Amino acid sequence: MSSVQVQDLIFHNDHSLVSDAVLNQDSQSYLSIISHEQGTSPSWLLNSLVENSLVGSSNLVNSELKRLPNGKHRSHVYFISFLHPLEYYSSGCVKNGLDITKMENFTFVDAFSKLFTEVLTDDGRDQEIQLKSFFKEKISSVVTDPKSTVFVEFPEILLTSTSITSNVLLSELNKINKICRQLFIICGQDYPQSIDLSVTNPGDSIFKVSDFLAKLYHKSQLNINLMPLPTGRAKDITGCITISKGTVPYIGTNLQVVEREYIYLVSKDGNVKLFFR
Amino acid sequence: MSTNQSSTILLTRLLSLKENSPFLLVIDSLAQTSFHFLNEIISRISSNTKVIYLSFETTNRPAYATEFIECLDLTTAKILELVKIHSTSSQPSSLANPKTFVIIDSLNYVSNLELSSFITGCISPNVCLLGCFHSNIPEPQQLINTNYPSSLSILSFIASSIFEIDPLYDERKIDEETLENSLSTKLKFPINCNLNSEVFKVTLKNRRKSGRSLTFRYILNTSSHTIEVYTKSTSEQNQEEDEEELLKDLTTFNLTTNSKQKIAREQVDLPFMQAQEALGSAGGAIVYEFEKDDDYDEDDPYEDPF
Repeated sequence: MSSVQVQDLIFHNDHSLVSDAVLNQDSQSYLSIISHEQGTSPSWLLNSLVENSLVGSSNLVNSELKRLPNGKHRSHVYFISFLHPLEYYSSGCVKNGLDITKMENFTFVDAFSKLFTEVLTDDGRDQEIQLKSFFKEKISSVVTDPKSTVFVEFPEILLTSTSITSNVLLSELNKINKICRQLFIICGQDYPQSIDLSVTNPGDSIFKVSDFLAKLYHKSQLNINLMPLPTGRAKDITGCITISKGTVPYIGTNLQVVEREYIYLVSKDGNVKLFFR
Repeated sequence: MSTNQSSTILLTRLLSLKENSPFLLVIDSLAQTSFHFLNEIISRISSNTKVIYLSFETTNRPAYATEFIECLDLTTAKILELVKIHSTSSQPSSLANPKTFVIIDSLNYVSNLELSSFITGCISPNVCLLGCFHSNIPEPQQLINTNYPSSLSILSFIASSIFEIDPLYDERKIDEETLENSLSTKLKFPINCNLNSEVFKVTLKNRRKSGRSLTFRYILNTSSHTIEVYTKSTSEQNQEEDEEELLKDLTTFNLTTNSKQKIAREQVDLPFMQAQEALGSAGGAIVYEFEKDDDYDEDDPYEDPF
């Protein structure tokens, strides 16, 4: 593997990850989906995207992207997680040279810790109403900066653990997308454990997640998929990352997705190496 | 006028909303979105046409939309009420064409049981309706009316014109089965296969008032706004020839036909064709030819075979 050239990760034709063309937009909002399977956690990618959205650099995956001078910030980052607490990401971002706990333009919303104790309670209200008010009060009202990047991690847990339909969740995510410039939705996509498009029982969580993801893909500009090596396990390869364009182009910009497939290695010390596949 | 020319004219008229077709159904997929197709229609219709955009999944309001209604949190009754209000609202007197164009970005969000009433509620004499339906999205099974038809069956039955949109993917890079397996089963997008491109294949099914249905295939280039009639690619033709090759030497029997046998087969006059030439000239009337053994009495009124 040492003879193969290490590559920089890029998503767009302007060699960017989160492009200036997106963040400088006045009226358009864009959606990207990061899907992953068991064994290919995207935390290294999320740390890099948070770093890139905050300060411009992306030390682990792209050496060409440079940090903005004089401590300037690119955008406000809101991270809404239904899976991990703030400590999970703050320790990960230390390696990228960022202390996100002390940054003014980084806001973390822990949407999981109190979800089943304080949000979904036996107050006699329908779960749909409880979740709608949760999204309105705890999430949409928090995202106040219009030129921001929002990450929503593992929202499909609401489909598997509550009675809400995929349309309700899509509606709430759409409201968040409208008030920011770039929305990243991170979700698991294990076939056939969590998605199977042949399932037709509307009460089945697999149906709800499949319906949610299929409809979400019809809205996205950029799709990033992480999966284990299809040919089997290898000591020097962690997984495979595929960058593909979504069904909707970047309206209002000349931005285009550069479709590429990389294999990557996350070493024990947290360093990431990418190679063309 | 050749068939190719007339089919191109038909598509051009449909895209510019000049053909009388009240409900246009667009069936797209994750491999090829209807986004570019909609833009092509908008580029061809009169700029004075009022466009009501019913959004179930579109985040950004399109520049061409006169009215943009976010429907995801509304009931179908409320949506129909809003469509009625906006389509009948006063228009500038300078408008020569009072037609309203209603676009529904995704019919997958409308419940299967409400679909037919929703569509018929949207259509009116001055409204042309276009609805997109994503074929990749799973449809919930009807738990009460188990024999109720699927949404696609209902929509295909109501629609006056159906546009099926498929990508023009490179067959050397990916075959249809692999593409179907990655997208429709695992929701994975193969890369560099020309998916969701500005140039794509359109299959048009147009229904006349008489009930006659016409099917045409085109290649639509939305960047240059050109239409080409889709012809079977040479690779498919070669495939047919290959199949004959495969039959050769398969058994000790000769399963193939040589060119001489093909010509002879084409020249065989089928008996019913000849019968039609002689008897069919009467234009559908029943023609009874008497034979020599028939005992026909002209004076007997009940003898008349008709």
